[in-house]
Amino acid sequence: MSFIYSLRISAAGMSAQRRRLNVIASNLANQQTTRTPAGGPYRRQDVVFQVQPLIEDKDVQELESFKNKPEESDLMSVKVVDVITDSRPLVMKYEPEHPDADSQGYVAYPNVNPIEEMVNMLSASRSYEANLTMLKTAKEMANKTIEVLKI
Amino acid sequence: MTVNGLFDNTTKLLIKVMSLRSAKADIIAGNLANIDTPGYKARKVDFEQQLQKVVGILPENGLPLTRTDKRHLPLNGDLTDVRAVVSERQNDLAGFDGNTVDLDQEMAALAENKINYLATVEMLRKKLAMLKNAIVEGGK
Amino acid sequence: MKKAMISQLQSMQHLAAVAAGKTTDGKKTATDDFLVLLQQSLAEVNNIQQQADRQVNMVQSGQSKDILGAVVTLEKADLSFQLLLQVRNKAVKAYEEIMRMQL
Repeated sequence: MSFIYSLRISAAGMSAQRRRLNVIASNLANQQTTRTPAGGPYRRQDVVFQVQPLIEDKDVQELESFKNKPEESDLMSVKVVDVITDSRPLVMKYEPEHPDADSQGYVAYPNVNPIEEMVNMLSASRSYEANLTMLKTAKEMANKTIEVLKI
Repeated sequence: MTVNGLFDNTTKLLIKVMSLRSAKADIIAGNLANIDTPGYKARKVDFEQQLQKVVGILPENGLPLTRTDKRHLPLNGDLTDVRAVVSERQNDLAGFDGNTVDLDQEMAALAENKINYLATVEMLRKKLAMLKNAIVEGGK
Repeated sequence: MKKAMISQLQSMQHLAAVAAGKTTDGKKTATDDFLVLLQQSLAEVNNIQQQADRQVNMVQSGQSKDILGAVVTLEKADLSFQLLLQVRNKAVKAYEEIMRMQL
């Protein structure tokens, strides 16, 4: 029995949410960016979360507490496996005077919806807080356990 | 002289419950870490039924003292066989991405598990303190 | 608490007097009461400890949500046991002191 796995899993969760937050910040910062090094306007980005079972650790034998076999680990961590580009269409605005206007006078602006990004930001920070609470709880439980040795 | 004989059944039960609740914390941690993971199904942990089988259904007061050792409450069966059983939470929260984790549900489970765990730790501490007291005072 | 100790001391005095031949022991003496008192205290302490175990078992197996009750009974068990030990210690000390007076 140990709280190491809880701590690792919560830390991974916090890390994943923080990456998500970074991507959201990038989206918000580049809402009006019509020019990128790759050419063309900025395109909205998103993170892809994926479950990461903790099975590499061979002493996941705290699984004497669990009913399942060690190969089917019950310990599920998380990881950002990819940052993908949003394929939704760009926003076209008629601005013939703009240096990046195309032949028809339209400028392609990033497909970033600020309201959508704000909602995502709230969700990400809420999830981050939840993982942080889990981390603190695991820490407190571990500390109290050690205190049994006192007196 | 074995130390294992020093622990009565209640103390062993307290230790067992501590490891079960620690396992439960791991599962809750996994749910929270994957709160935004597409397709992830929230999981829960059960062990109380198994415990009740081993501990037996106890009456509020009084217990017929028919055992040879009157100091200990008996257990039906072995505590070591009690495991945390992990299963999917049944709720209909699956959004368009198939994720079923409910933040409020998990936070409530987290808080409850924590309170119960800390209470168990304190009870264990008290049992051990009484045991130590008996050992120390008995030598005087 | 003091009364209990005083009555125990008195019964020890009686025992000492009997041993010194100063009194005849024709009737049931106070020492029997002392033994009974001791046995009762032991049984009571044992009882409370069992009750504490029972309540803890119920809380831990989910049959009861009364954590406070279990905690209170545990504390009672601890205190009553400590009290019994201290009374025993004092009684033994008093006895030893009286025995020394014999010389």
